[in-house]
Amino acid sequence: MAPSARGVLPTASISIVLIALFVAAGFFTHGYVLTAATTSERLYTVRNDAARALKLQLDEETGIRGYAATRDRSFLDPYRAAARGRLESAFSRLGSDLATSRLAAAEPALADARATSARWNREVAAPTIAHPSQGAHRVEKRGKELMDDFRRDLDSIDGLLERRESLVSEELRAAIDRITVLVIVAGIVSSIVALLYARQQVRAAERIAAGERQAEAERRERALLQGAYEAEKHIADSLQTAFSQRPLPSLETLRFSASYVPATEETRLGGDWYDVLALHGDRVLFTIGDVTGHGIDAAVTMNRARQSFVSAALLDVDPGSVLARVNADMVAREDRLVTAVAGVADPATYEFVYAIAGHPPPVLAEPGRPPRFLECGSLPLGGIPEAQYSTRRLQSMPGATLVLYTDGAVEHSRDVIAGEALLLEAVEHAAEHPEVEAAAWIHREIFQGRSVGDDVAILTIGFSAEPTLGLVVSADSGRARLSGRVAPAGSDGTGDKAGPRGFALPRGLAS
Amino acid sequence: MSNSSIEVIKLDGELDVARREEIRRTLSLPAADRPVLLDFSQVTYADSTAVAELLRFHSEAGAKGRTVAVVIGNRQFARLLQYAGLRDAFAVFDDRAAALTYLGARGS
Repeated sequence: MAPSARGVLPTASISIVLIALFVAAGFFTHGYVLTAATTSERLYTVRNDAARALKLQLDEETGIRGYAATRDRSFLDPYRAAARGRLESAFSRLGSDLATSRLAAAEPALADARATSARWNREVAAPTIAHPSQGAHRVEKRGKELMDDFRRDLDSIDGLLERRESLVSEELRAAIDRITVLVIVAGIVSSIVALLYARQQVRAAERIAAGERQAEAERRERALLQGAYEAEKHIADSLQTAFSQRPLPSLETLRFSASYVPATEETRLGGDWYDVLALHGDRVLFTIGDVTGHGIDAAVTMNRARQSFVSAALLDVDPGSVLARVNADMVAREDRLVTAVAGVADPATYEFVYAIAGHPPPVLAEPGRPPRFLECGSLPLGGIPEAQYSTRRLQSMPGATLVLYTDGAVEHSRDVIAGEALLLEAVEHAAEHPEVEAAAWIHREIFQGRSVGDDVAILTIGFSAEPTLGLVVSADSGRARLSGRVAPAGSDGTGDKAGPRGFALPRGLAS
Repeated sequence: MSNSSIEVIKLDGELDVARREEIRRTLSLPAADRPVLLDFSQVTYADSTAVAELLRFHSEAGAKGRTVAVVIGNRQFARLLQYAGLRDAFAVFDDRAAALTYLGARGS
């Protein structure tokens, strides 16, 4: 829900700002209207008090005028002291009104009116009461002048009041206009925000819908891939079965064990193989190899290389020659690089004859000695056509075991030195337990049940510890032959490129 | 001995099948007829892809009679070359200084 949450935050903050603006506008508007109303009320009071002062003054004037005309003293009622006090208090109230309404401009007019009223009182009313006979003329002449002055003063106050009132109403109108504009703007902004929010919501909904569509598409793709994976796994399994290691020969004089564990990371058809083919007289031809890379191509190359080994061994079983032929074959086909060991084990002579092509060195475990790596160092197969592979001869003893493996057995941690040490240790332990299947034991000890990132093939070929009765003769004859053959090559028998002669044609190769 | 008279080719990290094309491109014999130093001192892992390309480089250089020294800083890679017999085919050194000395002596 991240997309809609992203949209809500700015929308919410804009809404909060708008609400704050509205509240502030309302507050100021309210304050302003209140002030305007108070001002209007005060102005009304001022006008009222001014009207009252005028009325009282006119009442007095009317009274004096009536008295002058009729000499009836009842006309003087408004002019009694109490009445005059009312006019005075009306003036005072008007004065304080002007002060509170901040109408200082009207104060001179008020003072003038007061003075005029006092002058009228002195120059018209008092002489008229004292001498009524001249009252009518005085009232008409001087009285009229003063009353006109008085009216003018009050009129000027009234004019100021009107100006102030119109000012207030103008300000009020302007405030109302401002509020109207504010409301319109706020309305427009709110509409825009609402529209934006709505659009965001729609987009968020669209995104969610698109996400769901994509997830659905991915689910379908995964299902397809899973199907393809299953199909490939099926093909791989079928090929693995088809290319599976041939059964190991069963001989009295030689013990074999083998372990093949393909990479467990994914469906990987291994490029590793091993083969043991029975030759004449209990001798066996063994090969182990590893094709560069993985997958069906590697497996096909592997199968071709194995066939090539068999074909080459049919012509000449000498391991160096076998490797040279396979190399020529693979170079010609521009195949992948292959590393391999080919060899012959002869239980009659306790002799291993082997050749290596770029492959990790075999381990030899002999009774009473710690296991050791054999010499190695030669080009892989399929690289260059003129590569030579020397046949090495190794005189061993009863109970000796040769351990062949592919690089997965030593490169599992990418520290090949540690891997080699671990392998030697595992071989030594396996040799202490002749009753166990050595290859499986070694694999178990190295990997301890861990998953394997590369194919691992292990093949062991061991001479029986105790020669059986039926073999003594052949073993003896083997030794007899051996003494003649080993002497020129030295004790470790390496470097004899001529290869063993007199091998009979392989027997039972097709089995 | 001056280093400018030597062609240096350097590859780092893990040399495996994923980098096959890059390794192939990098490991091409320089046109100038000068000794070549293959500097693999920073290589941490190599598989047979590297071996295959080195093999090709080796035959190419051999055909043109060029002197090549290789510096290997990783034991696993050294083992792989040993398995492949390339340790003897090339002059292999543990450090660059020794390789340069060798090339300087051969080149002069």
